[in-house]
Amino acid sequence: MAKPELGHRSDEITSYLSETLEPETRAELEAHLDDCQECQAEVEAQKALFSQVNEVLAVKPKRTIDEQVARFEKIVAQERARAVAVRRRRLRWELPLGIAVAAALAAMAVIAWHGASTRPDQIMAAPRKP
Amino acid sequence: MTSERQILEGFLRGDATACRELLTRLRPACLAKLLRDYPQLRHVHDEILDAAEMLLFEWRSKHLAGEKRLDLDEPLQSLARRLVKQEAEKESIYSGHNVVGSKAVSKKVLKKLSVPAESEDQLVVDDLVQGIDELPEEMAAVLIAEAQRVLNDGPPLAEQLGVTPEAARKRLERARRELKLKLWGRKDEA
Repeated sequence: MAKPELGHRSDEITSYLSETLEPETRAELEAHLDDCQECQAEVEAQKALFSQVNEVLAVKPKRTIDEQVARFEKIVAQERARAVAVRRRRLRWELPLGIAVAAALAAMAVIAWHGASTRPDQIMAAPRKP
Repeated sequence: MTSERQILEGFLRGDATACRELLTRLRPACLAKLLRDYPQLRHVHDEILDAAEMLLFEWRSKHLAGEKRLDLDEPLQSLARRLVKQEAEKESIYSGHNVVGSKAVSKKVLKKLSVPAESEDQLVVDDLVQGIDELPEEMAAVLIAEAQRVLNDGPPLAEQLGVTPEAARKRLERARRELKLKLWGRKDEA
């Protein structure tokens, strides 16, 4: 790879290749490139440099982001399925138990009410001792 | 633009979109960390990255179970550092590499990154890697993100950096200028 000296419009060329130049400056630089061999050479050299940077830095990931997200979704789905199973297991025990407790309480209440409502009558009906 | 905190909250909730955004932003940060601190493990950077991403999912599960592994206010750069450190050290124990003082040994190891030793191309790669190594970490991450986009069909640069497309191009331009100065400027000084 050629290592040119930094040319007279080197930074502008970097901006040009990074697509950050304003349209007017870009057009002006492109017109300049038509005539300036030094700048043309620098454009090519910078392109080669940045392309080599990409090659040196690119690491091919084992999985794409889409594949990793799919793994994540699987994990979340398993978590949710586990949570539902736990809720169902609880319901299997807690619902019948709750019904039984409620029924027992209701029965006790009925008995208590019945006792409270019949006792005075029984007292009234009991024969008095002479 | 979604904030890092919002992304982490969504990720903890199990939101796939948030997970995608998180991985998109974490990857360049993880790779920059690997390149900088663990160049001797370059041949397994892909595996370490994969393991680090799985570790992230594991930490999420543990966090939801009550173990505090993730901090919503932690910058993603720092999260990437923790993930990579744990997995790279595990890998280096397994492969027998010494990562203690890895920064100090990295310069020597950098010389061994590519096979054709002492060829002109090799010298160029050495210069290049050394130049990138001397850049601030954020700049190295920008160059890595661009490399992932161009050569590995990675997401757009702006998505990887979590900024607007204009800002992403500006950052790329700054990183390239800095690297160019380090490489070609160094030659001029000599």
